[in-house]
Amino acid sequence: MMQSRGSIIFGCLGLLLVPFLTACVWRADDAEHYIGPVIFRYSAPPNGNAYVGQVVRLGVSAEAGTSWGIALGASERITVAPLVIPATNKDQTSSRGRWMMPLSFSPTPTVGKWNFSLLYLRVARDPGSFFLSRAIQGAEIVFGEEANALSVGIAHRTLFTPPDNAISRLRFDDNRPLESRATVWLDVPEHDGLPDSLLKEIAK
Amino acid sequence: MRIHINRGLYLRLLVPFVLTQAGCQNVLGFSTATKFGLDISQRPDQTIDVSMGYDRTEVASIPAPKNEDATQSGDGTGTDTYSVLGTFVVFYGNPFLDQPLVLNQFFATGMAARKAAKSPELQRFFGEATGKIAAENKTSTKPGGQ
Repeated sequence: MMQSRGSIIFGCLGLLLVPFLTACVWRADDAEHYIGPVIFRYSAPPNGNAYVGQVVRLGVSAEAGTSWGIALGASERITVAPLVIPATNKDQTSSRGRWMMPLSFSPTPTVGKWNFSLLYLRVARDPGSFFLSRAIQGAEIVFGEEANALSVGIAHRTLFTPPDNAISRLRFDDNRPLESRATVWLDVPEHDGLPDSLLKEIAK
Repeated sequence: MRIHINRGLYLRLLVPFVLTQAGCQNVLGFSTATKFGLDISQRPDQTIDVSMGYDRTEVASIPAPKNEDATQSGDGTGTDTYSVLGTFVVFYGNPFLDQPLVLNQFFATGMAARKAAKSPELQRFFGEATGKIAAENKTSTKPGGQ
């Protein structure tokens, strides 16, 4: 009798914990929708030198949309989108309101610090995101545009896809991802001198 | 008549099929991977990689047109060959000692690469980068590579 009561209590506790250890994400073309608990941080200009987003999920997590998969354990995803030179109005305005927690008491998360989303997080896709880092400690199967993999153990992958007809610069340190530097120069002049910002970056 | 499907066989056939059918894009890409455990994955060059234990890879995948598609310009060079000019530096630390993965990449692609190749500043930059790589290759004892 005592044993069955104990198992019932543990079962109930387990059921209560399940929602806190289960997260799903729908990756659409224009935005990503995280349902369930996630830890995240991000940076954007003018505080940062790139549009960086880092999302950590624990427990069981599933993803669907442009990539499909399921993971068990701790999974981390970092995206880096560059500053585009010359900048367009779309790039300058797109940094506002890209990370939103509409079901939270404070819908706008803090830039540059760790935030926690319990129920729902919406992330607008970074303009021209060209670097992706995915890490898993546990087990994962995923297939789609981000990765095609079946992993058990520890796996850390990065993918850098520079845009066509442009000069791209990326500096990334996975211990300090928010300090990443990423810039893309479009419309490189053929006969005139190179842009000053590019020459400064080369000189560093 | 009942047909029995061996689930183990089905999974063994399904996983490679999914890996080969999904995400096959002919794009320029540079990737790194550090794995410890069992891993079956598709690299950007679309080959299947199976590893058990510790493995580390760096792959540069540059799309190239088929030979029959190439056209010749007046000077005999291919006009539709994709131009890429860049440096790709990776520093790996020990992941179990919280040592970071550091990437430092500089790339010019397509027409921008052709223009960049004519720039004296960029010629000097790539020349110095090549010199450093050659010098480090001679006395290379550091972890990671360039």
